[in-house]
Amino acid sequence: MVQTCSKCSRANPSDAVYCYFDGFVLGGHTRNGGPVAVGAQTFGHPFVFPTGRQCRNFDELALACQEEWNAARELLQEGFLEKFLGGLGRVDLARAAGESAKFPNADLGLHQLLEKLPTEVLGEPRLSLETQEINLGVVEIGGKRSFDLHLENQGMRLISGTITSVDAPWLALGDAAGNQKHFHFQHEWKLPLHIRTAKLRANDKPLEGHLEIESNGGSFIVVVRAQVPVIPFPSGVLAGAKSPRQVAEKAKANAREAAALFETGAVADWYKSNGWTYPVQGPAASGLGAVQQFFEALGLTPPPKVEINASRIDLIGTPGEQLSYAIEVKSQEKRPVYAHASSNQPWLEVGRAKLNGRTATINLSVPSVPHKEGETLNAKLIVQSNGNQRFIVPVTLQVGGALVFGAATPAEASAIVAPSLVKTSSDKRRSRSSEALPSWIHLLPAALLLLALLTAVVADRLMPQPPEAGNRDDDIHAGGNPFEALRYHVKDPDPLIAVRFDGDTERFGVELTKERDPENNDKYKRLTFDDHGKSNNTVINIDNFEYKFGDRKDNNRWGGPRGSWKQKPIPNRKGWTSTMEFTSEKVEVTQLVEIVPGESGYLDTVLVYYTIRNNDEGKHKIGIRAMIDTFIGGNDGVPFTIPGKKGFVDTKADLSAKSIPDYIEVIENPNDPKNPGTVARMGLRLKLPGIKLDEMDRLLICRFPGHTAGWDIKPVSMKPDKSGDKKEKPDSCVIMYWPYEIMNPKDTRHVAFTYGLGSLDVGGSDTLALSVPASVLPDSDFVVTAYVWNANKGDKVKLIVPNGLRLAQGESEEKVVDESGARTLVFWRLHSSGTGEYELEASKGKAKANPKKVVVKAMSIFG
Amino acid sequence: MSFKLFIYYCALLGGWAAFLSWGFAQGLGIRRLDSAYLRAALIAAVLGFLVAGAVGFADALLNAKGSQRWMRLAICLGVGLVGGSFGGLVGQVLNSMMHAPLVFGWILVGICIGASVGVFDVVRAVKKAEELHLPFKKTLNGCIGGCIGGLLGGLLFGFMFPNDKIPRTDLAIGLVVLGLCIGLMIGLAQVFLKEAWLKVTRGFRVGRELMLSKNETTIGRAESCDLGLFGDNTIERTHARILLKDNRYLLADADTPGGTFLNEQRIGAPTPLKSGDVIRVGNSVLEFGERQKRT
Repeated sequence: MVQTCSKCSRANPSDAVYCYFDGFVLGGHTRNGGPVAVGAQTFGHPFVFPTGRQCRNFDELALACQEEWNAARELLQEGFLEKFLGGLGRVDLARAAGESAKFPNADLGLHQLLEKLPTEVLGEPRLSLETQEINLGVVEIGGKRSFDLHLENQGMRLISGTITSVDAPWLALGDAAGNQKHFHFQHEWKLPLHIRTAKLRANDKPLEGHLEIESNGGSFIVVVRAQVPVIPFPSGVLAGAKSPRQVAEKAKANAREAAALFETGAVADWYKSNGWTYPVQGPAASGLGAVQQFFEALGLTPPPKVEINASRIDLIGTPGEQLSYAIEVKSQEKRPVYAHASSNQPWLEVGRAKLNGRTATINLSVPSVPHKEGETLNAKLIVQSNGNQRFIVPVTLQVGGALVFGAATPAEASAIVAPSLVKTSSDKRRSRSSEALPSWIHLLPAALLLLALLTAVVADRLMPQPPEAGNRDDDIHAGGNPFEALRYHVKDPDPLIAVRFDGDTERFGVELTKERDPENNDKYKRLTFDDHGKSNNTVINIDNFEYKFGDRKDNNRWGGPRGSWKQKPIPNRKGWTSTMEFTSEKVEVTQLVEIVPGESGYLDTVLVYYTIRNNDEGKHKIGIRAMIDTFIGGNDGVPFTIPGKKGFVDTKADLSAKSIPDYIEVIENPNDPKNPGTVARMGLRLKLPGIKLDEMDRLLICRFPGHTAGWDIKPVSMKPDKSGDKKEKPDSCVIMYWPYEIMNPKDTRHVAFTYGLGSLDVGGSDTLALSVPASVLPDSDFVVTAYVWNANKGDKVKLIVPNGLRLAQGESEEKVVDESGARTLVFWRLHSSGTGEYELEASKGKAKANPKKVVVKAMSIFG
Repeated sequence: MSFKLFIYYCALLGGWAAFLSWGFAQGLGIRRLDSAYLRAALIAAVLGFLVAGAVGFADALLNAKGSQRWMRLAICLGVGLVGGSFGGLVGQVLNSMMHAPLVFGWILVGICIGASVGVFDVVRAVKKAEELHLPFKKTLNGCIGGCIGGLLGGLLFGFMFPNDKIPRTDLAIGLVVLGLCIGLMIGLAQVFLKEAWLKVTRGFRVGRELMLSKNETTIGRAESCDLGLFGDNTIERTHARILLKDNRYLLADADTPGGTFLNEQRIGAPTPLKSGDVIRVGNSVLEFGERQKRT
């Protein structure tokens, strides 16, 4: 009967005691006369380890291999064991050792050999774990977390097997990828386990994973648990939301505020912080589109059906040119549309979509057309909109459009965009970014501004003064100057003098109309140095600030609407008013210049009249002074006659208030009684009906100080300075000051003087002439002046005073000439009584002056 | 918008705003008011309101985003209105009381308009408890520009106004010149006195420039970013940041998978920037500029 080896299962003859193949004791023969254990059978010669350990039988050999594993492994690899076993005559074991040496893993190779050795001293491997349940506690998403799984072999030989991570993608076995790991070890082994925090998903329930361990030493299942709490939404209207549904609910309640959180990526970041996958794919839309996008992604709302307005886009451009275009994605449904696009070619750039309700506009641009003249470039524009609806729009760019279109400029060329689409009403070119615009476009607003300004100016020039404004101002100022209301009569409307104004400043000059300038026959004889009066000036002193009448500055300007009161003629009169406003002080000064009848009754005198108004709410201290650069014929330095003042003034005079006479006068040819020439007279103490005129405060007769002279003037002799090198001529002027005094709010002051022609009727054999004021006030003193030519000291001049007039106290009818001279002056101070006309006569010896009429009336003129 | 265009539009919008302010002054009858103080204050208020709004609009286009632009504009309008009326009134008072030239008033108006451009940044920095250096600098630059513009424009205004031959439009010409000058000088001051800036050399809107006026400037695809680079899907919503720390500008990546590159080197930690550095985010390329070395 065949015996089967219980170890190798091979058949042996019925009488065999030991297995022919592995020497194992066959059944029925155990402890029955043969060797009890093959492993204890002594080798013919021992196997000696490099350490000197001797192995005399298989048991010792197996134990030595177990205990000196590394050395045994090397001996196996190097073939010593194979040779030794072959030498024992155990071809089977030698062959097994040879195969084991070739095993890829040396440890497993040795392990296999040991299994085949005929010994029973080596026990089976037995796997043991420290724990079969691991709780990691709270794990943060984004953090790093690792731990070791400790395995131990409590048996012998080698444990080998696999460990598999089940239902726990967040659990990494060692540093390698994959969820399964093979292992083998002899005594113990630590498996490092890493938490893949990126794969953690926040949840209120703990995460649970399993590790299944299969080995030749036994099988186990290890449970791994971790807590990953949900992080609530941190801020804004979505604050506190702990789930996408709660986010959706809060977003629905505050859609506009929530939109910003979706748009800025805050919601996506929150998803990421919880380890969740953000449902929205692609770029976030803006505005309400972002909320719609989220709701669609969650499946809370169906996406609207959208359509695109371009099936293809054809562009034409010249190299280097900028092109732009806009496409629209629209929906008929009343839901926000969002979209984004991308291009597969670098020359076609895609802008961010502009969302506007049911329309999303995407700007396309070609920053610089490539230098590929003559070629047509192709690109694909992929547009993605609500519900991942995709459109693929082919785009062509024909380079070298300028050649095709001849003289087309870049701007024109860029306008030839997508001609096929221009035909459709749905395609509208959108405004382009500023950089994409042709450069001349930037000049357009500047040109429009210039045009607008120019149009306004031209219209302003063409239009009349605004009627409502003009009427209003006229109404306010009608009769504002009381002098304009006065009426008077003249003997002859043809004036004997003329007034010429300087166009800018309204300064004025005076000249005769009937007599020629002796030095220039083309001109008329002047009474002021400049026929337009440019050398005269009038200064207004307001609170110690000096303003020249007619000089415009920031805050002194011509009055009236838009300066319309610069010069206003007085109706039916030969007069003009000019009003200047001093806006800082709100003071208004009106200059009136009018040719009025003088003592002769003819229009031979210029009345100069200033009205000062304080329109301010507060007081101001105001004074005014006028300067006339006197001139007569060709003579700029004529001596002045000051009634009551001895001698002629041919140097300078400075008179204060009470010593200022009624008038002063100059004679063109003072030394020629036969032809005295023109007599110019300046009236200084005027009386006007119904008007209270301020009396003059100071009078200067001196050298002309220049047309820029200010308020304060240091009088200098009108005669030239002989010490100088220059041959200067006499140059006279008259400067009149009126009081510098406080004006209360709404106060008005008037000052005036006259300048014009006087008359000198020389009689008495050309030796004597009388000069009297044009008129005198009743019951007032006045001065009568006698010009005496070729007088000798001691000559007596007698004035015959008519009834109605009388000599003032202390005066005598007869005056004695106190010095000889070609011409001299004699004065009498008279007193008037009632009104009327009185003839004065004078005589020097037998010579009699022609009578001179004195008019006594309430007003010096027009009374 | 490039800096050149910014300057140009500051001046142009200033001129248009001044022209409109003349229209208001003319239409509302402000010029016919008796009180010089009220007249000056109202005309300057309208001018300040509109010119500050115009310059603020140009600034918002260059330096702001989204709804912040309207907030900037609103603040500019408010500051311009108040500052303009204040400047006009003070200028008139100085003129009336001390005979100071009217140009002083226009200088004050210009300063207020210039200041309006930076007020938003100051308010924002205060609210967020951020460093005030840059916002103050921007405000100061605006004041300097407004002052020079007010001086120059005010002098030209004095030459052109009043003009009896064009009694209605003399003010228009004067104001337009004034508005142009104030706008131009504010724009010039902002650009020439800027400390640091970015220029897009490749990507969305090539040539666009951005002044760095905050302690943190964000770059990315989101509209909320200070420098939006839209249409480039390789760029994250917030891709990179430029930080001002210890008087140095640093480039930081916002933990993006694609990364941020400085001079073609991917950066990890925040990296100091120097003028001329090239920054690449996604497919877009930026150039960093700095006027002076900060110490």
